[in-house]
Amino acid sequence: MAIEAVVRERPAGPPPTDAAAEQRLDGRSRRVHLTVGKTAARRHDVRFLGGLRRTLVPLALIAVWEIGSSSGWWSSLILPSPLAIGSTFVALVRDGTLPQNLAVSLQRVVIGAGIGITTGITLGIVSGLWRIGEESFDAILQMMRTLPYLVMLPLFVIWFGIDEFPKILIIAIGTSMPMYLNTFSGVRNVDRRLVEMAQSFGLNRVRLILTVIIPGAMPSILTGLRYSLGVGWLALVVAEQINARAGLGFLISDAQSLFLTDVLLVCVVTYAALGLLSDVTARLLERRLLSWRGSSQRW
Amino acid sequence: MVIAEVSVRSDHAVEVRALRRAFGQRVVLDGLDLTIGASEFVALVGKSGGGKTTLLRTLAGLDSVEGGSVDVPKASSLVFQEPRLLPWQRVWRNVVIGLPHDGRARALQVLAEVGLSSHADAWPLTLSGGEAQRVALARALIREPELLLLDEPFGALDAITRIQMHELVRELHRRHRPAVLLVTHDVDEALVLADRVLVLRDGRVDEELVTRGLYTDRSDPGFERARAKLLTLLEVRENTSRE
Repeated sequence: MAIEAVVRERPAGPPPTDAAAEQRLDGRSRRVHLTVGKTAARRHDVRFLGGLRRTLVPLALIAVWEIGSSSGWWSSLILPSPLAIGSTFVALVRDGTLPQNLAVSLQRVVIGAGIGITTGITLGIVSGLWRIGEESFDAILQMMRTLPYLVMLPLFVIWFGIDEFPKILIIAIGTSMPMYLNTFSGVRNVDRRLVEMAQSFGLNRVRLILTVIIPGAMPSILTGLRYSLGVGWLALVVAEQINARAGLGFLISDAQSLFLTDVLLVCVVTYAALGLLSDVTARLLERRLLSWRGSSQRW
Repeated sequence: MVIAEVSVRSDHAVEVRALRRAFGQRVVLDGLDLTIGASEFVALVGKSGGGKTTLLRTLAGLDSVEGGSVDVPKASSLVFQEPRLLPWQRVWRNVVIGLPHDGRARALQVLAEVGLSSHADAWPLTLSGGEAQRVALARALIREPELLLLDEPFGALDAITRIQMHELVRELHRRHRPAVLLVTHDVDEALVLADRVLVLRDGRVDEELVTRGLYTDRSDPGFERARAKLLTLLEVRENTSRE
């Protein structure tokens, strides 16, 4: 028989439009109509309404906060109103205080997290792939994981002084942990059958790692990245509380000693925004790198 | 992992002598001899757990040779029971995985042969079971293998798709002429496709049934007889009113 026999026929012509489908369904039961009528536009509406409802409670809380502050239910020294915080924010941006300190903090996080994430991924892949790697690194990293690394900071200050180094080190250690653990388990859990397939097709070690193992571990690596970025901001906050002369943490301790609650709250909101930003970045990266998973995994 | 002796002979694609393989105390292959001629289509049937897959994996170089000798052509490809496509690579990239260089044009050519050229840029997770298995066939064929090893490749497919796949495999074999070793537990499939059906029992090839081109059609009167004989060899008794 000819080969065409097994080629599945595709229906000719364009797929039926929604209008046509709904017309055909005229007079039929409502149940069928609903199933067909769940178009992209309607799903969009549902999502939009859901988003609206989700923002409703936070907005109401902010409104109560504003009313409470402006009508003197509590002292604006203790908790300034959202509008006051907004104007402080504008003032801090205008006189350069916030941008300058933010730049210092960002630099610390980028360098620290960069080192930590690179180290974590590298060690995770090495330990995941080779027994000798696991035997060399895994035990010590597992021990470090149980150690609350933030308590090492005073020690680091004694050892390395109050310069940038201990701050970057604490961020690097913090971010490398989730990166290592997730990369390691990702590499270990790559489907053995795919590895075997690649071997049967004669892939060499380098191609095997690049085309099978790392992509196979990628979902897990990206989960690790998200944790790492979260830890990175946390470690930054803690590191900057001690003897910082610039940075968001410095701004916070300075504001605390001067009882400037509005500046404190601007810093809190800035930290939150940075955390959110890194989370969104990680999600976008996930969507881009894991697009092969298809629409079912999209958020 | 590496087969000790690899040599190519002009007359035979596969030459196995006194192959032995044991997993702990359990001897799976015990002095197995097997010869497959160039372009010959051989089916191997046997009870499950009888060593069929072990033999195939040994020929594919995935399992070590403990005793005996195995000669297979260097150019051989394996199709597994599951498609085993890399879900993070587009279909055409999956097809060229066994090639030293990416060749999209070549991939499209082979995909056209299995009727999937329109799916070249699809993600594997969007394919049906039958389509994915056809991609796996294309991936095996693109290397122009002298030996094609099929490990129950249609076992997970529905009955209609399976028959379509039989047609496709027959057509591809006619066109490319590799030697084929098909491991299956489906007696009908073995009879319909193969030139020769081997029965694996007690770790060696126990019986063989030459079917060369006789039973391409299930309605052939000889088909039922051959089928009954094969089932007897496999020590299966059928109590249905099939006759």
